[in-house]
Amino acid sequence: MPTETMPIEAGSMDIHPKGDINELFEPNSIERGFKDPRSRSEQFNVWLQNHRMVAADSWLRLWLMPVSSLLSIILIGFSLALPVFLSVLLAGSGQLSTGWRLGDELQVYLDPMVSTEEAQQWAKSLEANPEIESITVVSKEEGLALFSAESEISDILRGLEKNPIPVLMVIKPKNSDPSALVNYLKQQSQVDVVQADDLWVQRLQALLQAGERLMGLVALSMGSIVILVILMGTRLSILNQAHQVDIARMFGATRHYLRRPFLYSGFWLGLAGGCVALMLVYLSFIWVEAPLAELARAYGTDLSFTHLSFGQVLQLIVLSTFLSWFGAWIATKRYLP
Amino acid sequence: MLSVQNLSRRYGNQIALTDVNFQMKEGELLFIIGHSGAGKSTIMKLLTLEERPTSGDIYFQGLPLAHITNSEIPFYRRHLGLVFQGHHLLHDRNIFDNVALPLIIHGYPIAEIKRRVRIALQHVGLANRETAFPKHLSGGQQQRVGIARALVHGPQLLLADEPTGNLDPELSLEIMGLFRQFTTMGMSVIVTTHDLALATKFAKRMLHLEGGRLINKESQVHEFGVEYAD
Repeated sequence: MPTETMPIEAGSMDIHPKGDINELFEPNSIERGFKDPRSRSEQFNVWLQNHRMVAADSWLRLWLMPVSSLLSIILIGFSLALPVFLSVLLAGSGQLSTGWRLGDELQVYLDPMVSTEEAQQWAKSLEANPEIESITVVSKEEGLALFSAESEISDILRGLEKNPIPVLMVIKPKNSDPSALVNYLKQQSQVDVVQADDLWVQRLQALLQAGERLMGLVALSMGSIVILVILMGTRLSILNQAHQVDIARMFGATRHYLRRPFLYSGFWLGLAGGCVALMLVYLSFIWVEAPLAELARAYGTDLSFTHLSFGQVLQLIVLSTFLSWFGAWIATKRYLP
Repeated sequence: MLSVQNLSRRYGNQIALTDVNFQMKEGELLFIIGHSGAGKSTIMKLLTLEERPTSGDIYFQGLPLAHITNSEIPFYRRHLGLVFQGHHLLHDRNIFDNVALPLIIHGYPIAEIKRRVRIALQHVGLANRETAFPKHLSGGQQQRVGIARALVHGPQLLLADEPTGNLDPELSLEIMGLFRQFTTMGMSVIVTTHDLALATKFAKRMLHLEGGRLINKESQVHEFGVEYAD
């Protein structure tokens, strides 16, 4: 190894070092071949230090590009807020239908040929049925009186020779699900029509079931949108930073090292997007809670939305962060040279 | 420390480099001279493992590079220092961050990064420009930042691809002077250039490439034997 020192022939710059440049040169061992020569614990410390630096740096870089960062965050926020809002809305509506079922009644209109006396006798025999809690028989006369009082055609009804109103039996079932009893009653010859008060509840439940599936579809679509948005954004970043990536590669950056800044950007965008989604969900409930509660009161029931629990909030944030990170991961896997 | 044996590189039917052989010792300054398209950049790409040779092998510290895996390449490159013709600085980072890049990649502790960057910047005469950005520096200063970045991690081999291509003659002399000084610390330096006059001023040893071949068939190493002016 030469030890001679040689002066620089030309130039005006100060090339006489003030620090000892020899300190930069250490014996670099390649005894282990071209592998990291450090011990496992040293490698871990380096890994941790790099994560800290890259995490802080990528967070700062989001602030240096406020418009594009904000657009991505808002897009993630809206994409995730929609399915979360729908799921909480569906959960609240589910409570509404369950609450209604507790007080339901069956209105059994008998054949017009069945007299009030025959109906009362049949009602007595029906009371032995274990599915029935109580039966109230509304006679033809009572029915006519009630109908006349509430109807605009009372004069016409009074003019008729024969009472056209059938005997009505109001049956309160014991079970919350009276479908078996309804089927039994429909098969009886005395029965003309069986009308369940919870018909609209059944419709609502069917709607809710359809809504749940639709919500699943919306959640899937919105999750895919988050992944795609971050994927395309990260792809663009990789293309924009191809020069930096190349330089880092030439100075010994590993593939993991090169991917890290992009993955952290995805992580931060997802985290911020999750927080925005949460905020949007809460704002939406503040906006719709009062009119929905009023609508529920119009149907004679109370409606109270259960706000997201701490666990659900955590789930939303973690999901948002994961989806965004996953989008960045796909982009780095696919587009990083 | 470096041995290049029967190195060839083809791109389809086009021959970029044929049967190149040379050896290098520690602390040696080697110039590779040739016109544009002679194969200088191809040699550099093969030495940095940006590309793999079609045939032949390179031995670095006695270890062959032919069968090095992709995951080992970054660790091989950590023994190299690279200087580019176009500086290749990060324009959104200040001078300190640019020079610190290899140290951050290699995972040096923060305090050590600061210490090394300052020594390297002092050595190239830019100690007071740590917080400046590349766009605020002249071409010569930018190249010196590139050199500080190349030496900051104390590489065993420094590869400079046309480092003075964009510089005026006076600055070129300064840059070559720096390279020559590095060899006194045990660093081996390979410089590619088309400027024979400049190389002759500094070189003890030159390889002349033409059409992808080393000229001087007898030894394939052209020894000019030019001694330093001091």
